[in-house]
Amino acid sequence: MSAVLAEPAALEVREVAVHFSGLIAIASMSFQVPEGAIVSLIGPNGAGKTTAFNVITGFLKPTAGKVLYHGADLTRLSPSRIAALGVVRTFQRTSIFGGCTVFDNVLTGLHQRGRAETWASLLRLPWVRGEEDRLAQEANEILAFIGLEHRADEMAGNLAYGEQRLLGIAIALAAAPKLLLLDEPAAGLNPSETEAFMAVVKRIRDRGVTVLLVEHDMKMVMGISDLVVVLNHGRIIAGGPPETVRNDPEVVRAYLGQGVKRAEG
Amino acid sequence: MTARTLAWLFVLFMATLPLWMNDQYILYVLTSTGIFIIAAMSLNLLLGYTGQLSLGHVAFFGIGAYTSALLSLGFDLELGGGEPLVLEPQPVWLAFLGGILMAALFGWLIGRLAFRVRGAYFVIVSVSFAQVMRMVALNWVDLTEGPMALNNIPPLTVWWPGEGVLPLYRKEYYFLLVLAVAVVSFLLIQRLVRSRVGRALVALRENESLARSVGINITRYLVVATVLSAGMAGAAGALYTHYIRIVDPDVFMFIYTVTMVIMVVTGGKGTLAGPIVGGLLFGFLPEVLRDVARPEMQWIIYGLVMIAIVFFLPQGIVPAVAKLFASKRSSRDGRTPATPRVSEGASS
Repeated sequence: MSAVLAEPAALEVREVAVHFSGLIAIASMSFQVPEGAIVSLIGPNGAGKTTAFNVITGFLKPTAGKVLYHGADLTRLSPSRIAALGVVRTFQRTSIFGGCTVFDNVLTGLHQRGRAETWASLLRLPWVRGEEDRLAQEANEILAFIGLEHRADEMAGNLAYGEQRLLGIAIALAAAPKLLLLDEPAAGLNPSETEAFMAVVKRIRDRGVTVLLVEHDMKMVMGISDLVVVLNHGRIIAGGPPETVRNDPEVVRAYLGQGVKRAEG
Repeated sequence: MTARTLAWLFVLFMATLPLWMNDQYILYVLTSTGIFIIAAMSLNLLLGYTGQLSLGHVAFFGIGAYTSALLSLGFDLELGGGEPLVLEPQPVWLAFLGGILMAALFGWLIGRLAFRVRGAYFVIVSVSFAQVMRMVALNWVDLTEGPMALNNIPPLTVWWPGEGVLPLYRKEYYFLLVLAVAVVSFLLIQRLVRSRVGRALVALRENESLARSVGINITRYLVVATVLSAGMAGAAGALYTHYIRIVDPDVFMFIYTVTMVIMVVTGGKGTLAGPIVGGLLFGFLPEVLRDVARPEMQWIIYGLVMIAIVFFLPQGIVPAVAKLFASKRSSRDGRTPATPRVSEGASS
């Protein structure tokens, strides 16, 4: 634990609270994501995991608290500005552009890598073509990395479910993340697909990308995480390396003993 | 033969049409259909590519028409006390440009607004916008002559070697001018949608949250699309006003927006060729029906054709044809049929 925590924090979530007109989605949440680590955020349904993602990536303004990315507060920035800083996310259900080809999906993800704006595109200035070629090249590289190059011309909406999940990651990778947030990337995958998926996430981490993961699949979480943060009822109840968290009595109760807890409350 | 050659052959065919076809009426229908196709193409940029339904699109058309007419006619306006605002008649092409810019300016305003009110609210706002414009045109009599209409609008001109500047009174020449503007509009839209900007627009249509999460500034691109779309509709309106040479508040009628939407949706929204195919079909259908059906039947048939297309080809004609060709080609090659790239269209 200490070895990983010794790294400087890429992301620090500090006392974030989210209230939806009276309903408390997140009471007060603080945790850190060390640079270069894979950190998993877990917890029962409704614990506030996706809400936390929405706050970090600017889709939701927190009621209180701060999200610091290398010291800069993200809570005042728009999602596109946050993406420009290198914090990129995927979405739980549809994280693709279904009506476009797989290749165009990745090309769209590369938006920040291009400079061609309206006039340059309308006048088709000479450098625009060079830029398009460069982006196409990068898109091909990303598709090859993720293993979807043979599907490049297929409509994204026609892909098998597992491939769509991979494409979602490819799009996020195209946005050049330094911190990648994956929202239940393995949901609905079969065990062998999950296995392959874990390998992809590890390879992404090995490229120097910090990964924050929301996931239900415990095998995956325990298999690839350097740190696990456990959220329940909008509060963090445990945090640390997988083996510590696995044996934490509070975590066991959150996952198994909700009936008891509800009876007490 | 590629789609590209086919498209240029079509343009060539249209360009030579006045040489061998003497029917002035058909030429008139083609010219006004062409003007509407330009407007439909501009609507397609919004409706087809960014997915925003603007049911007030005719407002930009009308603003372009009125602005260009007023600038070319000149006006004097009492603005309450002091000197009246007097504008001498301006050269027609300057007026034409003014029409485009004024429409684009209103496009910018609506684009900013569209970002705040989305979906059904935007539809209502855009409809109201066109109605307000109609009311202004009706009631600001000092400026627009109200229901009496602006008359004697000068035609557009062309510079010809040895002859100098000539007004375009002849239908043949005006037809060629409309064709030229349509081709330019098409190429501009084509360049835009096949660029980084175009991908951002489609991303906005396909999955807005995801678009934002990969760093696309959707406000900016929505405004870009609205400004270009409005400017192009304004150009169509200005072409119209200098062609018909009279403009009244009915130019803002809702039915014109509906016609544009029908052209885009039946042809295939989000395809480059869609508005052209849909525009030719629904521009010509009433004229063809006039010869073969009784008046009360004409609009019933028109409606039935429309329903049939929307029912059987919900994506529109162009994607359906593209799909047909793609599956034929792949069955010949013995491959699995690949779905065609909808965003590129058939005859692009």
